[in-house]
Amino acid sequence: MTTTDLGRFLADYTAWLWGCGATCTRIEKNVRRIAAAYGYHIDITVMPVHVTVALYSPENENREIFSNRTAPCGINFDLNTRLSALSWAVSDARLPLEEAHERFDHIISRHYADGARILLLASLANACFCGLFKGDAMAMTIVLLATMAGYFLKQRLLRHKVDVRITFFVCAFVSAAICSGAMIFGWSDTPAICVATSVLYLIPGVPYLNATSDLIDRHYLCAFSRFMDAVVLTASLGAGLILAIFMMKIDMTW
Amino acid sequence: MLDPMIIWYAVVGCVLIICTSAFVKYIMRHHHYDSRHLNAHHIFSIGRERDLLFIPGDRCEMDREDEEVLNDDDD
Repeated sequence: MTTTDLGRFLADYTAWLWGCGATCTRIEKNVRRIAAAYGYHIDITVMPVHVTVALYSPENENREIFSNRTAPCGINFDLNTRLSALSWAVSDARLPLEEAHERFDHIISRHYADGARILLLASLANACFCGLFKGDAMAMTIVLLATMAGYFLKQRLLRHKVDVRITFFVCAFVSAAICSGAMIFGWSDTPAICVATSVLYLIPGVPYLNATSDLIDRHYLCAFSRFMDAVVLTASLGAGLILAIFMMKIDMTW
Repeated sequence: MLDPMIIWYAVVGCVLIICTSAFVKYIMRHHHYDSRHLNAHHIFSIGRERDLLFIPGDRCEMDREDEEVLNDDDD
């Protein structure tokens, strides 16, 4: 194992951990744990689109710098957990770097998303949101169907590499437009709640939480980056919702 | 100005078309265990007469003479 091998591995590991939605605190702890297991110290710079790892051993104070672009894999807690577990495996079992690299390749090459199950659960959760806001049973059913349609579109558009802002805009419009049927056809007694809760599944909650966590940990650039990403996505879904309200002539004072 | 009801039907129609096409693709993908098999099946394709009409006694495999006749017809 050379310093270069370890440095490249750590840069890749950091890039993927950032990409799957880990906070800066977690990234620092995990990468430091792996480096310590091999007898090295590190300094990490986490930026919005790239990460830099400075690696050095206690005997030799000369630092070697390794940089990598963050992996655009989307927020994935399963991947996040497995990468964190890998850092503990390296630390506890003293895995050789080759084996750690092998496990890392296996983790990042696996297919995690079970699209149909996530679609169903997200739709049910959104329908429950509608219920929490005092929407009636019919409104909840319409929100369930509208969320299924919107989430299905979101999965397909993102799979076809459509820009995430356009995806959010389109999905918000479609979900809100479908829910406007509650008002147009008089299916529900709470149509405004139905329309308002139809886009809640698109709210980027994890980036907002991560931004707060980074802010507390004084990673201000990352916090600002994540916050702005989340704000842009929220604005995109807001634009889709407003377009639907305007085109469908929805009366939100119902 | 478009009527909201027309827009609603258009949106729902588009979503249904996308869902149906995705479902058909899914069915096709999962009914063919081999990806090469999948590529060999098309909804529309140009075939030969013997693909549709099989008379007992016809040869199943096309030999060189058949190929020559077919090529001559194409010319």
